[in-house]
Order: sequence, then structure tokens, then C-alpha cells
Amino acid sequence: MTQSAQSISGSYVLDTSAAINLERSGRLGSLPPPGNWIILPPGVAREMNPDNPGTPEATKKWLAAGRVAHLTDQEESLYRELILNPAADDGEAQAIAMAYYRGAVLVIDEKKTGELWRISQSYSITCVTSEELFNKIKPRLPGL
Amino acid sequence: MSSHTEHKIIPSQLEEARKSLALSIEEVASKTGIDSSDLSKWERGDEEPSIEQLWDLARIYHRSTDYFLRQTPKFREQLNFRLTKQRTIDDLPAQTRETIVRFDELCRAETELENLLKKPTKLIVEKMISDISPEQLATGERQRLQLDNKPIKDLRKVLTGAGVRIFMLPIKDKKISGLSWWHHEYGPCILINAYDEPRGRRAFTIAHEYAHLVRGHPPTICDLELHDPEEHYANRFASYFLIPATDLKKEFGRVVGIAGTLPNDLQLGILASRYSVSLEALSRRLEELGLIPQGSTDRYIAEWSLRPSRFRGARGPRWRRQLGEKFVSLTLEAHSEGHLALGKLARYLGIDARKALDIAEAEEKPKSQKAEYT
Repeated sequence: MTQSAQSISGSYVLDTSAAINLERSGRLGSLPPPGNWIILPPGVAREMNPDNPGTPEATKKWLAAGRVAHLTDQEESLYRELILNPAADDGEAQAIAMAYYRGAVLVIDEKKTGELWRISQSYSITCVTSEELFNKIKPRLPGL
Repeated sequence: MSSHTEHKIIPSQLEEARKSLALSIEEVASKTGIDSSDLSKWERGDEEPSIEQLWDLARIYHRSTDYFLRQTPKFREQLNFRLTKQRTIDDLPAQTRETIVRFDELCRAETELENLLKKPTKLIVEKMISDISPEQLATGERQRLQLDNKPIKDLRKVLTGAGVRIFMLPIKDKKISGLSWWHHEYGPCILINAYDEPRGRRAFTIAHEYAHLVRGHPPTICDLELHDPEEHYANRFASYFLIPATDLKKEFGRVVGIAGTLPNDLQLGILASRYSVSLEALSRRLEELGLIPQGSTDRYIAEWSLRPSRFRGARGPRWRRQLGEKFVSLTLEAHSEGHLALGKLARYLGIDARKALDIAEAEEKPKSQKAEYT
């Protein structure tokens, strides 16, 4: 992973795979709630469904403490294009679109050789895994 | 890569999605809280919904978002069902219509997965529209599918291997056994009511629907108990196809004895289970072959109806069985190779993303470490 100083202090967009992995490893709750540092696309928030009885309490609290991001017009336009790719569902397509237009880092746990990494790279988006976010970046985030 | 094409919501897809569930604009308005005049404008293409409104509609219509951004084959034209009992598709209960839409989505998904993985279906099945008796057709199809005269252990697997898409989804309307359509893009497709009872009837229903496909009958929602010529033909085909005469005669001699001997329930059960059919289907076939006296089946049914039922209510199979091994393995393979993201995997499997991830990971573990996710 090559990580510029700018992206370390920037924001991070969680895609579905990363959000679920962070939840499963019990690390989601120790991240800042969605809002400034962490951007949570609406489709990913839906996958984490706080109304589902199987959703861990820590996730519910984390979601309730923050806010889900809204797509800008430009992001929505790119999302509409990406959703036509058979690889992506709502959450993934929104995450890529938001990372691209916000100059944010995309946190993604899909296969590095897979279609979503390829698309992200074609938009020059910096991608990290949730493991990298937690172990290498989070300790360096100011105030955390 | 900073420029991209503007993808508009396709008004006809909005209308198609609503009509395939036989919902009126007013019903959609009351379910979503969206103004009915806005819905009309969107369907006419005068205006577009916001993305949040589109997600609400996708949820109500049981479609994925991309459905509204691309032209898909016309659902209602494809499903111009030869409906039974003078019913129209609009008269079907909402749950049945939703299940049919899910079936359509699964057929589309399976086709998409095959394209992604470059594993197109090899279609062995062909239409056989010439004048031919059900018995001749059954013999011909057994030859085509390279089945000998032995019982078919897993008909779903055999037909899936021959290029038929088969899904088994629960439909609460017990009168509906299954439906079939030969789609111009997805090929031959069968939906079986997962609640179909009694035990053993599912194989019969698959064979019945297969007959409709091979005969080139129009898309059909079937009630196996109806008596019209096409239904009758399909039933007779299913009986001949599943229970080959030569094998049954031999087994009858071994299990029961000489022709004319009335088998007891246990013996009937042994034979029925050999062919994966219901006791009734087996008994009717025995009558047809003259192995038991005419009218025996009706007497059996009368006797069985007097006994306390051990049937504890319809229970649908779990998601894996509903979707079938082919669909599940294509989906997991596409995910494992990075062609399909987690959200899409969950959507295709019809389960929560958390569970989808558990399953995908379990699938990639060595066999010895695999947990049971069925």
C-alpha cells in the first residue's frame, strides 16, 4: 500500500465488504461514526440494516451516532453508470462514485484482482483494505 | 477517467415493473407515500424520480436498481400466461406475483452469471411440436437426455444439465404447482412451487413443466389437477417419463408379486420412492399398465383420506435448495473470482450481506473445515 499524507488525513469511504468485515472483527465501533472521516454510502448503510434483528448492538450504536452520506448530482451520475456493471450492487457503486468525487480513499475488502479494484484503479482512486485502515491508518488519524 | 455517459431512468421499465406486479399507480403511491401524479409523470418520461425515490420503487417492485437503467426483455409479453380457471395474472395474489418477479430476476441473474464466467448454458433440450403422443415424447426425451430405462434419481439435476433453468420458490397459493416459459434470452425456465405437496410431487411437476416447454406450449401457470388437453398431455408425459413401464413391471414383480395383486401401503411407498413420485401418481401408473385393477387408486385415496394426516403444514426448502446448486455455485464462483461484489452476491442469493460473506468464506475453506450452510 502506498499512502500519501493527504489521503491519511482525508476521508475514507466504506464499501459493503469492508463495513461488514469491520463489524465482524468488532472494530467498527472504534472508528469515528460515519460523517466526517468515515463516509458511509446509503446503499452500504442499507446492507448494515439497523432494523435487522441480526445487526450487532455496536453497529446500531455506531450508525445512530453518525450520519449516512448523500450522493451529489455528479456522484449520482457516476453511480448510475457503475450500477450497470454486473459486478456492483448499490453500495459498491455508490462507494466508488463518492470516493472518486470526494478525493477520498476507498476502503474495500473485495478481491484485489477483482472487478471493483480494477474499476477503482481506472478512476485513480486510492484503495485500502479494512485491515490496512485499522492497523496502519487509524493509529495515525488525529484525535483517535 | 472523469467523463461518463448520462444514464437516464427508462420510463417503460418503471411501468413494466409496476405492471408485472399488477399494481395500480394509486397502490404504489399508498405503499411509498409518493404522489400518484409524480409516478405518472415518471412513467411517461416527463420527469425523473430522485435516486432515493427510485430505491423506494425498486424495493416495492422487487427489482434491482440497474433494472430501471437498462432495457430488459418485456416481462409481461414473455409471461403472457395461458392462465387457468379464467384467471388473469392481475387476479393472482400479490405474493404469487412477487414470486414470479423473483423468478424472472433469477433467470436474468443466472444468464448474467454465465456471461460473466464465460460459461454459457449448453442447451440440449429442443422443442418437439410435431404430432406425437405423450408416451412417444417421453421415450424420445429419455433418449435425448441419455437416460436408460432406470429411475431418474435427480430430475432437477438432469434437466439443469440439459440447459433448463429451474428454481423452486415458495408460492402460498397452493393451487399453483409450477410454471414454465421458454424465454428468448434466458432459454427454457421452470418455476416449481416449493410448497408443492404431497412429497414426491415436485419431480412430477418438473416433468410436467418440461413437457410444456418441449411441446412449445405458451407460458403456463399450472394447476396439475386441472383437466384440459394440454395439462392432461403434460401429466401423461410426466408419468411415462418418470416411471418407465419396463422397469415398473419388473419392480412390481419383485416387490409385490403377480399382476393384479393389490400392493399394501408399504409396497406402494417402496415403488413410489424408487421413482420419486407420489403414491397417487405411482398407483395411477400401475392401473394404466394393468398391474392393479381399475379404480384402485380412487379407493386408496378414499382410504388415505380417512386416516389422520401427518402433514404438518407446508415447509419451503432452504434458500440453497430453492435456488439450485448450479445457480449457487455460479454465484459463489463469480464472487470468489472477483466478478461479483458482496452486495450483489447477497442480492442474488436473496440473503443478508453478513450471511453471504459467511457462506462465501466457508466455500473457500478446505472441505475439512467447511461449516454447514444450507
